[in-house]
Amino acid sequence: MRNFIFSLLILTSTLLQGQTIIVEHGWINLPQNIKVGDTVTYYQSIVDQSGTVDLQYIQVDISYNHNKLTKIQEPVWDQRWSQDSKATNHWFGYYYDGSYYGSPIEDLSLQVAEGLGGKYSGNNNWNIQRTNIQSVQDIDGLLFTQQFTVSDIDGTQELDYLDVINFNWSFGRDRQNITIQQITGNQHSLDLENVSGIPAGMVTFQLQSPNNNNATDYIIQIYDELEEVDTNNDGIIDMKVPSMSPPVISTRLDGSGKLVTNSLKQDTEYFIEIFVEGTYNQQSSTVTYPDWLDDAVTVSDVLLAFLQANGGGLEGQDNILEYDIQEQLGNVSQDIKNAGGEAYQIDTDDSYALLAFLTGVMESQSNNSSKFYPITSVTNGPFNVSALLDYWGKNDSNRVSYSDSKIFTLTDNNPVTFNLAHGLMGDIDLSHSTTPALDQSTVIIRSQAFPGFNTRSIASLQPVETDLDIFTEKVGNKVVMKVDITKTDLSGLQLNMQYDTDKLVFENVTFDTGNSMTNFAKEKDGILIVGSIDPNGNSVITPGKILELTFDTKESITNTAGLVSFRITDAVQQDGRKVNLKIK
Amino acid sequence: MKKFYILIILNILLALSCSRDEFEIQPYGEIPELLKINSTQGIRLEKYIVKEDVLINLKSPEFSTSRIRIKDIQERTVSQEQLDLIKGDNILKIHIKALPKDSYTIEVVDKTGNLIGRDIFSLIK
Repeated sequence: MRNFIFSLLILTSTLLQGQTIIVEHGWINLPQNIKVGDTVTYYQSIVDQSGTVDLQYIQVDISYNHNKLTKIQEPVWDQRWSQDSKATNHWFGYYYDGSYYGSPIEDLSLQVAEGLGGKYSGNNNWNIQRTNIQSVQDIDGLLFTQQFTVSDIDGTQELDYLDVINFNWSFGRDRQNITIQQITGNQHSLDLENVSGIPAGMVTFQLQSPNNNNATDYIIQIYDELEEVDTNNDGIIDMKVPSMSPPVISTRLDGSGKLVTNSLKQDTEYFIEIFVEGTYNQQSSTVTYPDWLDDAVTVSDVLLAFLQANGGGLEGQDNILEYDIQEQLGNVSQDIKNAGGEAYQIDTDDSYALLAFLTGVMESQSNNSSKFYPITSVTNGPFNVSALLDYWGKNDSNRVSYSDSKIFTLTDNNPVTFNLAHGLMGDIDLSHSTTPALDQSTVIIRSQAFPGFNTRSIASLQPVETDLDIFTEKVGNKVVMKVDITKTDLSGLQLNMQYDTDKLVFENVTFDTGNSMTNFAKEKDGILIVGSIDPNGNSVITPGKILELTFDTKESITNTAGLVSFRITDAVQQDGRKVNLKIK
Repeated sequence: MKKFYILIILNILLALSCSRDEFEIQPYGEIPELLKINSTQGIRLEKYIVKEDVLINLKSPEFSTSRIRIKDIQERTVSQEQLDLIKGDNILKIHIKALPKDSYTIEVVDKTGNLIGRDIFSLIK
């Protein structure tokens, strides 16, 4: 009975005085976007809600998940408590199972009143930290701050950054050494939201290109550290580009044009690029590029450039091209001072640059030129354009910024596939570049300036097929290659060949294509590029035996099979339609 | 003395025949076992995994201007030779240096396009 009365008096006293202490914990200046490895600052403070408690001692017990947080600092007590007694204890690999875990009102003192026995259990994911302070002053306000770093949960059982720090219990006494009856917490658990670094599961990148036969020559690079750029110094951020940090992924595609990875994180902005990779020769300090780069820009691209530059068709106001991306890839004569600032439009400068390149007049970039000619070839190297397929080839009305077409963010751990588009500058006929879906967002829109003239239907650009007779034969000690055509409306034809330099020496080529055609022949390191074109499409190649190439032999041979291989055969009709040559 | 003149005439004829391009392919003598073809026509490669020039026997049922086509995996002709085949075994060579690493079909057709034989080889480099 005496105990009961005593308890009643205590309770009454407490209620009357309203002795409620709130222990608060939380983050200080938490960044909006947190990355794995970032430092976050934790704090604890005391709020005397009634303003009547003269708190002289308090103990606070917390758990923190060390898969998610790494403690890098002991509590840094506020300077108010510099003369007071403080202590911090740690137990690693323990977890506290309080019966009020997760209750709406975090009654920390009740945990103690009920007893702590049996509430701690071994757990490799959690640590316990207990802080104590005893002061001659009334304990109120900020107790301490403490820094942690955000850990990478990849490889752990954790799926997110919720519940990184939990209150366990608290115990306090006032100046009269009376136990504080009600100590509550402001919130049981602390979370870290918008943390990038959560594994994103399996992500597949698939190159969509007609050149997938050579997919292993492409490399994907993915960056996770981006910097914002104000390109025209108007105070507005125009784009994001990779910072100087190395890419998180830099690898070649497999033979099917695919890359599968599970090393990316959620809620991280990634910047992706795909490009044709050269091979670096350390001894000669040179980079060599795949032979097929010489197949990307051919007579059909040149003729398309001329036809487009000249207005294409009806009254010079039509488009010969269908896709906006064709015009972007054909914009190959660029002013160095205004690089990137020019309109994506093929003009006569572009078409003549392509012709000069094709005929060998402009073999490579000139250092003294005020112009820049990004025309893809083995000599020049690849001039790559790439984007996520959804943004590929969008016209002016639908175009997104350079960086937006390359940035993606993963928001969950479900498997996802990104289709990638890639193009090579100069490849106007898209023989080696991704063709977008034809719709209002990708169609070339130059004709909108000329009401009444629409772009051609997609059927107009479907290639046609014709036979080509081409063979080698041994004539005395020479090897002769002969080319015959029967088609009567070709304004361009090109053959890229490779020959056996151990056994043959290229001697000469004879053209019989007609008087008004421009013929060209280039030879380098066993690669022969020969062809004929009327860039304006006014004349056609005279059918019949149009070409004869002669090789001398370095050694005695019985026959010629395999001595010359045909890498690519390309032709184009007067109207710009591509012609697939089928060797008989 | 009569035999001597006959020998001289034969030698002159032989020399003349050797200088003519269309008869450059000579009977090979002993056909290597690997290249022997039992039927009257067909082709046979010395080996099917190839990393250097390889011998091939083209057995033709008659003298014919023919073509040797080398086609890649997509059935595109990547090299083609026109030549005269003598009746019977024609031991020739497939030169590989100018061919990219790939798997190829080699086929031989006569002047009217009739197939004499077809075979497959893989080129490793």
